[in-house]
Amino acid sequence: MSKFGLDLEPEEADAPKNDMATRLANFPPSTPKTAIDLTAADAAAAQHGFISREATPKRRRRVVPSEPKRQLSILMPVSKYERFVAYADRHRLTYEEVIARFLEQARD
Amino acid sequence: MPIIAVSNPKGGVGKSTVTLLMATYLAEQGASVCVLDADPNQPIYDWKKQGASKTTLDVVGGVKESTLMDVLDGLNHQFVFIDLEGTASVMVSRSIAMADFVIVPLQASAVDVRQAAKAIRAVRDEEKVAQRSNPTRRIPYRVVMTRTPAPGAPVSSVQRQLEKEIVASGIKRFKTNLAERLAYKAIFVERLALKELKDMKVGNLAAAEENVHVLVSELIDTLQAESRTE
Repeated sequence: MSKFGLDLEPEEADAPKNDMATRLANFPPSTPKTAIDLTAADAAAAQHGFISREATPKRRRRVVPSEPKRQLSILMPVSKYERFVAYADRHRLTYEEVIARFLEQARD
Repeated sequence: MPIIAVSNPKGGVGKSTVTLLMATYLAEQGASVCVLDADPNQPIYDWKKQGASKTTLDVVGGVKESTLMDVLDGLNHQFVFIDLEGTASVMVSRSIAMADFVIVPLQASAVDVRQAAKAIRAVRDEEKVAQRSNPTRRIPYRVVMTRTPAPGAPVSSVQRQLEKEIVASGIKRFKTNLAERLAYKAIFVERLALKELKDMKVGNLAAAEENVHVLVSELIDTLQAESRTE
């Protein structure tokens, strides 16, 4: 027994430290992506001088047709155009082959 | 998965240094981290590819304006940093538009600050554009002052004046600065993470590590606070 009245209840053990590893565990590896309107985003940035530094992708040479063909001309936003061309380049496909692939995937 | 864009249209302000220090530190702590090296000089991709660091950090190089969105969609890390080029380009603005958080490094010089102001205006405008389709979308940012004198060393009048102006103009900043340290240069020379420099003569490594620890702690606190306000 303490002469000074210091018979206190023992303190509870310290709570676990909020260390970095614990805090990092709160960040999930994947979260839903936000859809971005690239055309509008590019237009807003252009006002502050943010311009493209990359050369516009060149159109690919057409292959010799094996059957009668019709012309399909499509007007689309630059962002979609660039994604389309990038997809074709990445998979080494002509534009016609890309459309054919998408149609095949859509089973249409 | 916070996507963190590190941007200032001015070159040489410490974007790659801030990115690499933060990313390697988080990886050391057990987080899954990826850096998209969107700088044409590919400093971090080169660091990873040519170096011998044992870090778990992933680095993706060769990112282009047209492939940025697809690359981001394919990642599944806890943290993704985008190290951007020191210029005002569509790559920079798109990265900002897709980011959950933007870090704007700057040194205490008039040129750096003017260019940083350009990045901050771009963040605000991209946020407004994004809010047209998603009213709750926010792109928070913080300025971080780099290459400042080490604690205890004299602070220049330019830096003091700049810090006052940052406060007066309501620009959000990290309380922690990244000091000028020999070790921060050495990570690029040796192509190693900060912790891996322990047997080399690189100045006060303990102080350099502590600086990064405090800065990353502030980043984590800020990300958590910002996610709560969404």
